[in-house]
Amino acid sequence: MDRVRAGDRDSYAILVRRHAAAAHRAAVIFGAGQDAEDVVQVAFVKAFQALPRCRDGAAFRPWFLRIVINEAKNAKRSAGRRWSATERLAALDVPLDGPDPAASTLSHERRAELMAAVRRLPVPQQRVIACRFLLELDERETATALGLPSGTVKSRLHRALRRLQRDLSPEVGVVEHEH
Amino acid sequence: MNTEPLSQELKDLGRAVQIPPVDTDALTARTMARLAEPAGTTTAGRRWAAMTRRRRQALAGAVAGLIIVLALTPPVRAAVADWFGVIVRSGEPVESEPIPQAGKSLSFEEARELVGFEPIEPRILGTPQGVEVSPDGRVLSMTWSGADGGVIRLDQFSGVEPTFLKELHRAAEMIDVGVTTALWFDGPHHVVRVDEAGREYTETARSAGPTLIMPVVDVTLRIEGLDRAAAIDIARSISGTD
Repeated sequence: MDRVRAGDRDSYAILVRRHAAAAHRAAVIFGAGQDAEDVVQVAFVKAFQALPRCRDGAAFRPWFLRIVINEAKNAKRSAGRRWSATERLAALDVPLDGPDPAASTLSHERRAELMAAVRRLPVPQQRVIACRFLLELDERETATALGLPSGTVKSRLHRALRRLQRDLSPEVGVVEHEH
Repeated sequence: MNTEPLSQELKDLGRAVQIPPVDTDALTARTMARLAEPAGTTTAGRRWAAMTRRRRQALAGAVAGLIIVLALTPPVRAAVADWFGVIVRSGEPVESEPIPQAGKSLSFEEARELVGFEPIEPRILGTPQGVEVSPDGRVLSMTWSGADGGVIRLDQFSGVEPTFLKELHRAAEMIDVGVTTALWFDGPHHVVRVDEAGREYTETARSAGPTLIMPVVDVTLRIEGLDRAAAIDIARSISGTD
């Protein structure tokens, strides 16, 4: 990491290769759509310039994911989509049933039901759910990826999970709509 | 509340999300090519510069379009837009007010530990007179005394979520600043802190003077108390883009 910070490009290439797949996944989850690969490349170029600001000893990935998430937001705009502070995370427009359905123990119906419930959450709660569970970051990494104090992430996650539990009824598999 | 089963289900949901395949070797090679070639010097560089330019133009168009639309829309019905943490909507002209000083109880290092992002320390402005962090931990503010005795204020925040709301009665100006694009608000305007959902903290509402907003990779800067040229100089210098 020190060599990368000092501007060593060969070392940075190793870092890029190591984090490319996770970054691409985050870009798709956060709505970059067709631009996901471009978003990742731009984010890596920007991150290289800003590396001296990635705190000593701090993990590169969550800090870098914040740049990816911001860039994904930006790409969404350039694509001329509607602007709104309350817009739904385009994140959750991603299709389900990836190439390896065996990796998931959930039934198709349950997945659809869960995704529908997540989409009904307020957007700020969708963001923490996306980072914490869809990207499988821990609470601290989620805080870094969203640029939030960790206490905020903790309480927001708690509220989101409580709301999802209220909204979903696991026993009968019926979704109750909130009004 | 036992959230463990639900947490596990959500992780499973994540694994079921369809992510298009990506060739990490090719992506790495293309990224390193972009890094190696200064914009404009080679084919790839020119392509990169053109892409960046197109994206900027699209963004500028979107912001200009947005502000024009807002100017024609009664504030009550105005749509909101979040640009790197700043929501802009139309509003009435306001009188200017003095810029509030930041508190004196924190050092920059202490403040840095309280926010969830890595703030920039703008050494060019010297030691700040005040440093503070907002109660929600999302904004780090610093103030200095300007040459004319006025206050220079720098607010920093992560651009991922809405943080400030500004009301404009005339268009803001998009300015190219090195690798990034800044937004210049040339007159007094209403500003208020908002929470992550865009709800206003009404007690923070005030009338701000001319302000430059500049996203710098992983943080957004808001600079108030300088004229346009000085604000751009400072922004370039503290973001390392000069």
